[in-house]
Amino acid sequence: MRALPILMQTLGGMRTRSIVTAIALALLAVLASLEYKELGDSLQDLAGSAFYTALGGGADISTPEGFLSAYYFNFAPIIVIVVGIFASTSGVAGEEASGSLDLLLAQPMSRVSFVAQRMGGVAVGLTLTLLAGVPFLAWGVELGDIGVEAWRLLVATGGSILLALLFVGVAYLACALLPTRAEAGMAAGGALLIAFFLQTLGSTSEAIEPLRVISPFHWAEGTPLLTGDYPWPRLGALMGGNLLVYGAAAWAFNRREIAGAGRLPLPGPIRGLVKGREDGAHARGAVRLRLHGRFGLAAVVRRSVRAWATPVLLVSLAAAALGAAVVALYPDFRETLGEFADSEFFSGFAGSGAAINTPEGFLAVEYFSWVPVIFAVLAFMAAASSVAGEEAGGTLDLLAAQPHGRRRLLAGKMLGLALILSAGIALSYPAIILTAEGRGVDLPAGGTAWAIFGMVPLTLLHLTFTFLVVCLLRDRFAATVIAATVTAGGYLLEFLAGFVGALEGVQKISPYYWTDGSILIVEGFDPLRFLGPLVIALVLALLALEAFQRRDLAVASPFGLRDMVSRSAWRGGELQPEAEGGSGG
Amino acid sequence: MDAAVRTEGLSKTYGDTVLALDHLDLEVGRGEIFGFLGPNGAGKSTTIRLLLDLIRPSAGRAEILGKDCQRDSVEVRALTGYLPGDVRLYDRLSGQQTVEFFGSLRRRPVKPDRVVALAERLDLDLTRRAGVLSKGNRQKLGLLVALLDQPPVLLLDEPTSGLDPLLQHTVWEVLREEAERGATVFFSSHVMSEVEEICERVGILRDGRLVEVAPVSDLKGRSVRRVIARFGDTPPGTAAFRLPGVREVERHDGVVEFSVDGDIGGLVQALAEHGVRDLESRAPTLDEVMRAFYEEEGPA
Repeated sequence: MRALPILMQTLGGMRTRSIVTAIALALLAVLASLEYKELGDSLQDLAGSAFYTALGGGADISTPEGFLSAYYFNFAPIIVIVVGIFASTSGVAGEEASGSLDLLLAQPMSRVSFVAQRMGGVAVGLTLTLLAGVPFLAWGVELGDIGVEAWRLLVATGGSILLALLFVGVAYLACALLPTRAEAGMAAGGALLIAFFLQTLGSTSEAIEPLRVISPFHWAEGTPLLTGDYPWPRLGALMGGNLLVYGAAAWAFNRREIAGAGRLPLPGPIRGLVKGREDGAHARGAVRLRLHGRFGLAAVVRRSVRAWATPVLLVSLAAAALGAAVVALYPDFRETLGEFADSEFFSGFAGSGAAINTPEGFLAVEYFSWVPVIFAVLAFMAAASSVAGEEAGGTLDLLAAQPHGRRRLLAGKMLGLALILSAGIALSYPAIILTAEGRGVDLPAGGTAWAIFGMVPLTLLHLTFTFLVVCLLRDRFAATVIAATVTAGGYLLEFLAGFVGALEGVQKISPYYWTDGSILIVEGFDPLRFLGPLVIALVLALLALEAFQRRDLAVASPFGLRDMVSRSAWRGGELQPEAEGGSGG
Repeated sequence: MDAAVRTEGLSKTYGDTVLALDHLDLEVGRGEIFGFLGPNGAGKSTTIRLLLDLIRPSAGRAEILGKDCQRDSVEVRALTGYLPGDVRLYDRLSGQQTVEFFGSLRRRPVKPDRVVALAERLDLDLTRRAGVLSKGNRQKLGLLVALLDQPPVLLLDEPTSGLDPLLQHTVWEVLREEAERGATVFFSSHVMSEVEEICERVGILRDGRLVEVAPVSDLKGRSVRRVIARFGDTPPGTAAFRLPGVREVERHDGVVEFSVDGDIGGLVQALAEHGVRDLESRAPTLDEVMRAFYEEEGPA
C-alpha cells in the first residue's frame, strides 16, 4: 500500500492549480521589482503615510523591504490563500456534496487521519507553490536593483507560508462546521478579507488600530523578516495559531456527521431553528404550488439570476465598497499624488486617461484597473457553471428535455446572467457618486457613469466568449482554462502596453483597451468603445447559441467538436460496428 | 399499428470507434406500456436521449406521435415526460420549488392538486431541499416532474431504481393508470420482474442492437421449459432421454432436470417408461428467458 495515499492524492489534485499559481507569483515578483525601479525616489513622498507604512509591513514604502512587503508579501499569500480555500473546500465539502467522501470514509482509516492527510496535502502543495516564487523574486530583486539578500526573501516567504496555512486551516474548520462548500468558502473568504482590512485600514483609524493584533497579517508582516529584526515570539504565535486551527478542524471533523446536516451537534433550540430553515417554512402536507401561469423562459432567466445572485451581490458590494473607499481616501492623498502626476508607471497603469493626482486618475488606477477583471472572472465562472457545470451535475439533461428550443434555453441563461452581472456592476455607481458628494470630490457624474457601465460590455464579452467555448468544448475545466487565459492575457496585454512600446499597437486586440475606464471617465460616451464590444458580445452569443443547438448533451465522449462539425453528414449514413459497447446505458 | 414511438434505422456512434446504437427499428403503440430491456451499456439510455434530441443520431430517424424527434424536437418534448436514469436536481431548490420551476417550463397546464396528491401517494415531502433527499426520494421527485402535466408519452429510464418494494408497486400502479388514461409508457429497465409485472411488450437490446421485440407472454411461451423429474431409484442413463429439443441440465440425488425446447410430450412418455415418481414442469421466468437470449447470442 502506498504511504499516505490521501495526502498524495490531494497533492496530485493540486498540481495544475499550484503550477498556475506559481506562474502568477513569478509574474508578481518580477513586476513588483520592476515597479520599484520605475518609481525610484518618487516613493519618498509616501514615506510618511500611515496607510502605506501598514501596507509595507511596518516599514516606509520607499524602502526596498517596505515596497516588497507591500507589493509582494501582502498579495502573494492572498493569492495562495484563495487557491488554498478552493482546494480545501473542494476536498471536504465538495466531495461531501458529490458523495465521494462517503466512499473514502468507508475505508479502514480514521477520520482524523483522513482530514490530517487532506490538510497536509494542501499545506505541502501551497508551501511548494510559495517556495517556487522565491527564485523569481530573487531574479526580480536583481533586475530592480533592490538590495535584499536572497536568504532573507526565503525567510519572509516562510512567514507567508505560515500565514497561508493558517487560513487553509480556517477553511477546513469552516468545512467541518458548515453544511455546504459555498458557506465554508464564504466563511473562510470573509475571515481573510476582515483580517486583511483590519491590518491595512487599522493603521489609518485609531478605532480599529487596537484590533490589528487579532489579524494574522499583523503577525506575519514581511518587512521585519526582510530586515532581520523579526520578533521570534510573533512567529511562534503564528505557528501556535496554526496548530490550534488545524487541531480544531480535525476535532470538529471527527465529531460531525457526514453528508447529513454537516455540522456539529447544536443545542436544542438552535437545532430547531436550523432544521426549520432546512425543511422549509411549511408543514408537510400544507404545500401550495404556485402554478397558475406558465412562465416559460422567464423561469430559466429567473433561475439563472437566483443561482448567481449571492456571489454576484457579494462581489458587487465589495467592488462598490472599494470604489467608495478609493473616493473617500482621495482627499487625504491628493497632495502626495501630485508627485506621481508624471509617473510613467501610473500612466501605464491608468491607460492614457487622467493623471493619478486627479480624482478620475486615482479612481482609474485604484478601481478601474482591478474591478473589470474581477467581473470578467465572475462572468466566465458563471457561464462555465451554467452549461458545463449543469451538464456534469446532470440538471442540464432534465432542463433540455423540457419543451423549449435549445437556443431559447441558452438565451434564457445568458440573459439571466447578463442581467444580474449588469445590475451588480451598476451598484458601484451610487456608491462612488454619493461618496464623492459626501467627501467633496469633484467627479464628473456622466463620465463616471460611462466608465462604470463600460464594464458591462467587457463583462458580457467574457460571458459570451465563455459560453461559446464551453458549448464547443463541453469540458468545464478546459473551457475555464481557455477563458481564464483569454481574460488574463487581455488584461496583461493592456497593462504591459503601458510600459512596453512594442505592445502599443497590439494592445488594441485586448477588450480592456476598448473599455478602459480611465478614458471613458474623462471622455464620456464613446460609441466605438461602448457599442463595439457589445456587438462582438452579441456575435459571440449567437455563435454560442448555434454551437449549443448542434451539440450532444452530457455524453462523456471526446469526439464532440469533430462530431459537431461533421454533423451535416449524419442522415442516411451507413454504419458498421467497429468496437464493443456504447456510451449510453 | 398507430405508433406513439417509431424509430427507423436509428444509430448513434461516438467518433469512429464506439457504436452505441445500431440501426434500431422499433414501433411502440399508443397507450402501450413498453419495456426496453438490456444490460448496462446496451444502448437503452442512448435511445431515450435520442428520442428527446438530447443527443443527435448518426443515422436514421425517430418520431413521437408523428413528430420528428429532431426537426420537431420542441413539440416532441411538449408531448413527453422524461425521467433520467440518474436523477439530478437543483440541490438548493425544495421539492416544491423544483416542481414549480419545471411546471413553469411545461406547455400543458399543470394541476397543482393532482401534483400534491401524487407527492403524498409517493410519500414525498415537497418541503425538503433536493440536496438533502435520499436517492429514492430524488427518484420520486424526478418521477413527479416527469408526470407534471400528464404528457401523452412517458420516457422513463429505470423508473423504480432506488425505490423500496412497496413504492415500486405504487409506481407500477401510477404507470398503469397513466396507460389507462391513454398515455404511452416507454421505459428502460434491467429488472425483469418489473417488466414482467407491468409490460405488454418488450424490446431486448444487446450491444446497441435490437435482438427481439415481442409480447411478454410470447417470449415466455416460446422459450424453453424447465422439467424436473424425481425417480424412486437410481435414474436411468442420459442416453434414455436423447430426444429432439431435450437437454439434460443437472442430475443429483435421484433428480434429473431437463430443459425442453418445444413440446414436452416425448419427454413425459420416456420418463413414464423409466419409472418416474414425480414430475414438475414450469414456464421460465423472464429472467431466465433473458439469460437464454444472451447465452444463445454469445459475446458480440
